[in-house]
Amino acid sequence: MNGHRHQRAFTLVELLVVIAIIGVLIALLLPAVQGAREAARRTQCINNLKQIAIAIHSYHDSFQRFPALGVRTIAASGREFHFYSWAMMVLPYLEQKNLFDDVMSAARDGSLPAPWSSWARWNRELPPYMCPSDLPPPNRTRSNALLNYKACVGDDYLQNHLTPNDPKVPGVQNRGIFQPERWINISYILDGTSNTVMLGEMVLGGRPGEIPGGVALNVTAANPAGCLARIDPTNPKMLTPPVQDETRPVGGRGWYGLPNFSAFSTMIAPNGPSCLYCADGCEFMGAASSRHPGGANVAMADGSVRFISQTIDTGNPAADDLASPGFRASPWGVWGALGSISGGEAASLP
Amino acid sequence: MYAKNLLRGGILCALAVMLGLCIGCGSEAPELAPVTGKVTLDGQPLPRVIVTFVPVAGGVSSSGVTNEEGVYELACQLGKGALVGQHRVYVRSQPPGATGTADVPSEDDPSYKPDPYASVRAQGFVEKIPARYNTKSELVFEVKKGKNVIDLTLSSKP
Repeated sequence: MNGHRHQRAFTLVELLVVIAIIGVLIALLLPAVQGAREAARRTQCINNLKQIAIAIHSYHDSFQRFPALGVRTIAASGREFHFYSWAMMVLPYLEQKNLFDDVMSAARDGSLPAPWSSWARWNRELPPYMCPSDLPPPNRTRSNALLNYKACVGDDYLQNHLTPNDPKVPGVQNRGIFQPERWINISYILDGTSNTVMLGEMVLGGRPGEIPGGVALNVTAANPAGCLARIDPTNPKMLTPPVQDETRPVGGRGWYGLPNFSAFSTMIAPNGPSCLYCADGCEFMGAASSRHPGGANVAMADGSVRFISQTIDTGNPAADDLASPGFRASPWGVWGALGSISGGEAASLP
Repeated sequence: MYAKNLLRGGILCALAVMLGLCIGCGSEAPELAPVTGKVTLDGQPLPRVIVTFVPVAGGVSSSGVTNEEGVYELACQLGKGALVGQHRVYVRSQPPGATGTADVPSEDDPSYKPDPYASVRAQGFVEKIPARYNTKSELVFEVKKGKNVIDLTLSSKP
């Protein structure tokens, strides 16, 4: 009876084809899953940036001034370079008041370590200062607090580490919102808060000389071209030597309020090279950078977060630093114009 | 038999769709072409000067630094070479100190007490290359597809 029924079955070839199809489908799907994970990390990263921008605005609400890039405590005031960064000053507005109070009580009794020092209280990775798309550098023996988000010193290089009131170089005013020991009011941003960059992402580090993450040293040229010329033409993912060593990653000393530890400038397009020149002080031409494909996020002074493409217009990189600031248009295109607070440029993001 | 044909047809269709997906959309990367050349001023090679190609139509600039023989090779953050098209070219020299080994003051050193103003140095630096090759550049070159050799023959006389 049953013998009449035809026993239907798959041939081996059909099975193999089906397995192959499933394999191809999984191969198509896996990158999408990884892409969705990166999208989630990016969203969290953007959220952190936004929270810090709001914290800076809360600081402005309290003091009618934006925080300075770096500030010296009374105990450290005699010491030239003991600048404590903006990232420390906004801690109370990021629900980190306990850490801030620890720092303040140590500052009052004169026991606060130098901002580059290791100290058990502040050697930590604060979640709001970490972008989940980035990985902490493996060798960070000489770092204390990791900081993925940097303050914008504008389209400014030669003097972005100087304080405004020193008699030796009087009248130094950065073209951006942040400068060591300068606190500006929001009304100083004449180009408009939605057209001026306040914060940006920067990767924590990488292999020595890697782009992004590495830092080229001894860049004496006063223009971005000198930094771009440090891209290795035989391997454009790397910088030519000398480069900063990996024990001092670029994102590794977040409490230090000087540009090469807690700031970036809008001269080199995002994900481009970062360059440093140190005679005694250090001038830093730091590029915004991220592990997201194609560019980096910035927070504008109005608190909005925008993605900046790594192909943004940067004008003429061979033009020299404007040296003395003021109401002059940036030579470095839309990106430079977005960094300056009062360049008078018509540039804005679409 | 009918079911088997249907299955085969389905498999073929699925394969065709997947082939289409795989071919899909390629990325639209900007076109870069390798550029190299020699920079001379009055017949003498210019070592350690920075050559910058800025696209006339806008876009990512490329830079390179000349070696002791005055030969440069361009690169930009997108990769090797420069964007295809017309470029305005700038030749700048570098203030002294650009060569040599790494020089970063160490904050971990107990005697660390730098003078932040020591590095304000650009004021004393005078550009020796004529302005018509840098600040008021008249040099325009076209980067074509394939390998480019663009020699920059500069003259100090107008």
